[in-house]
Amino acid sequence: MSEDLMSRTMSFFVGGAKSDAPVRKMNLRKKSKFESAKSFALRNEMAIYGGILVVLIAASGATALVARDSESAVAAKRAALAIEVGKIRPLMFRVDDLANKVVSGQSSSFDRLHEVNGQLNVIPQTLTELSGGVSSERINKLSSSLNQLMISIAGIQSGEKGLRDIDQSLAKINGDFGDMSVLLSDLSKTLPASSQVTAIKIDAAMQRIGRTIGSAYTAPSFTALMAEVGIGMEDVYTMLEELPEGDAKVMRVSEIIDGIGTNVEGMIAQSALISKAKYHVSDIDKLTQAAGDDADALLSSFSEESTSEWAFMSLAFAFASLAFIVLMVVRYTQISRKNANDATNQNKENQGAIMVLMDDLDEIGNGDLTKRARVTESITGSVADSINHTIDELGKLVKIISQVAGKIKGSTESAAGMTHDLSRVVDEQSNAIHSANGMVGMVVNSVKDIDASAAKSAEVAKRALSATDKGNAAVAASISGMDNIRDQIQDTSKRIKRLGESSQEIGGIISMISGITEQTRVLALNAALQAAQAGEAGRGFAIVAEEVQHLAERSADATMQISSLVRLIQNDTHDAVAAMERSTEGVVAGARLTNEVGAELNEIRAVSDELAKIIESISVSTQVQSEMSRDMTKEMNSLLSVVEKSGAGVQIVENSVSEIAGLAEQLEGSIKRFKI
Amino acid sequence: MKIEKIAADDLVAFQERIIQRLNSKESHDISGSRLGVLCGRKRFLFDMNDVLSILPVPKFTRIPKTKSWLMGAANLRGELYSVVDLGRFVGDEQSEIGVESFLLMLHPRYASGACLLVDSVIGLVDTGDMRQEGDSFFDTQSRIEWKQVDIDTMIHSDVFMKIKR
Repeated sequence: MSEDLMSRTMSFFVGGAKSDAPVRKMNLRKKSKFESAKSFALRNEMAIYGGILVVLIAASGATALVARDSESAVAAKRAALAIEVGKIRPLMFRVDDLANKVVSGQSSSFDRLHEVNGQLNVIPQTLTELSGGVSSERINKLSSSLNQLMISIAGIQSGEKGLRDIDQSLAKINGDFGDMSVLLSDLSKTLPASSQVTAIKIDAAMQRIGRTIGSAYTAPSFTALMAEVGIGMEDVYTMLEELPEGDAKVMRVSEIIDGIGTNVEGMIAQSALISKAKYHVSDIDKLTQAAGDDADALLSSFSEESTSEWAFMSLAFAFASLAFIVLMVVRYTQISRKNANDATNQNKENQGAIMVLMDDLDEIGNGDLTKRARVTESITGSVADSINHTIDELGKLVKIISQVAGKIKGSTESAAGMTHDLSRVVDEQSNAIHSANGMVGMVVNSVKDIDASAAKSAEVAKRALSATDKGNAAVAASISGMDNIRDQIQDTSKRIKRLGESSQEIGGIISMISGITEQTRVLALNAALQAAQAGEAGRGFAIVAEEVQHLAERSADATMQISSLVRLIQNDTHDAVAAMERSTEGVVAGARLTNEVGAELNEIRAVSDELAKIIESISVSTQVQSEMSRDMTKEMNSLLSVVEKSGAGVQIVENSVSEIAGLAEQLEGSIKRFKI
Repeated sequence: MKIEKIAADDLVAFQERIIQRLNSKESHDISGSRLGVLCGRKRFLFDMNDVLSILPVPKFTRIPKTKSWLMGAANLRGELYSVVDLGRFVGDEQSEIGVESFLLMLHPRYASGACLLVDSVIGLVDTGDMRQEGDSFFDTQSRIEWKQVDIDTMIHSDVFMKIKR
């Protein structure tokens, strides 16, 4: 197609007039029939002018044809080239994206990277074929950029196996983390209190390691990161030894952690590979940018060289032709006036025809491309015919430019809509991240509240412990007091018993005294009897005996009273001893109750102790939570900065699109001048 | 302390009363004083001249086929005496020999050869303030009856002499 166009264009310039040229020559020849022999010089001059005009019109027609063919054939060829070059920028984005993906844990993107690399491979050749030598310098520059890029991609591809291995290890580790977290949370319920804290600590440490491994691809130094992970794993191994041996779950946890350790070692071994691949990726960033810039430069060079160039050239030729015609007419008129005598009639005729042509051309020159010059039998007929042909082609060209401008406008409008949507989405993302940040802040606050509550609870538990200690001391004092009371009661009881025994002895003595008193009484009675028988001589003695007998009776009464008192004492002592025994029983019962209170207090103490330990473990958990929330806030903030960056990018794109829209409008405005 | 004081007061009163009574020998008559004994529920009085002495109950030997009031025969200071239970003899009073039981030896002038067993010796009884009705004296306040024992009548009575059952 394009070769055909080229040959046709060339034929006009070379002079191999085959289509329109003979007609015009005939017209010229026809015109010469009207000339008189006298105006030979004029004829010669006009012939020269006519030749020049023919050349100009031919050039205009040719360029117009070229311009038209640019829309059809050449333009198609260039469009194909432009399409190919246009593909490069998006391809560069994909290459950049995929290269970044394969070194950030998505080794599955290697397949697509291979595919894109295949597409890249054929681009230089395709471009060379399509260009046909046009803009070869720029194409060569682009091709060399693409070749450099492909070398870097090959560098990344060489590390494919290693990266895939690392990704598998990571996936394996992630799976293991899930299992292990479930097991550890089970363990923290079943194990004894001291081991529970260890289990929670292991869980927290492993989560920390998990997060560190998770940031493996984004960290500045993979090797330093893996060293940190290795140190963390050593700590976890140490803590694992503190857990009770023989527990099935504990054994399973250590198996999983061993598996993770093995995978981590594998990753450490491959760390050099990651660094190398990252180095290539940073190269690719630059190279894709360079290749994209090259492609853009090539595209812009197309637009400079392309259809407009030809169209404007055609227009220039057309206007040059018009100007030349005017010049020629003026010159002809001048010459004609000189030869007025010879060709007054001819002159008038010619003059009229030229006036008609000038009138027609005046309107066309104002931009109304619907008008045509009238083709007459006069001298201007063939000129008008040629001009009309030129105007036809010019009209078609303007129509095509107008259509293209319209399409550009439509495309930019849809692009503007899309970028606007994109901008809105980015805003929404930004807002969502802000609100998520606020929520994380709330979580942090509530975790702090929990921590504060736990601290208060711990204090209360400590107070409870000290209170129970005091209670225990009081119980011990009470028990010893009870023991003292019991001892004293037993002592008193013994004394009272001794008192009873003493009073019994007193009773014995009393009965002896009683016997003596009786004997004394009988003796006194006998004495009184003797005195009575002695008559008057024994009278004094009788009195004494009588009084002694009275005395003895009194004494017997007294001893009887004493005897009853002793019996009373003995009864009382017996009652007192019984009461003492009852008191001792009461004291023993009291001591037993106090002992029970002591046991209860000990139990309370144990419960408070356990409570304090549980609260301590809550405190450890909240600290871990707090740390995690902080990490989350950090991640959110980095996400926010990324979103803000993309928002700025979208803004730039939006500006570019509106700029393009403005340019399209300008183009449209400049075309509107023409009436088709 | 109270008991000690009473005893001391008693001793002082005792000494004073003895001295007082010894100094007023003509004004005071002791014939009002008799020996009171208890047999079962009955109280008896003896003249001071009728009883020689009061003795603890000695060993005595039962005499077969005699009345129940004749307890037996005993050796008192080398002489044989019959032991008569006064309570049973006078009023069929059932009594047993206890720590308060005594033997009353009768005055030798009665030459009875008998001694009386009593349940207990109450002591000297002043009958001066008592109301006398025949052989009986009544305490004016407690209305307790005391029976005067006439030894001479008793030992010469037929009942006393017939000991055979």
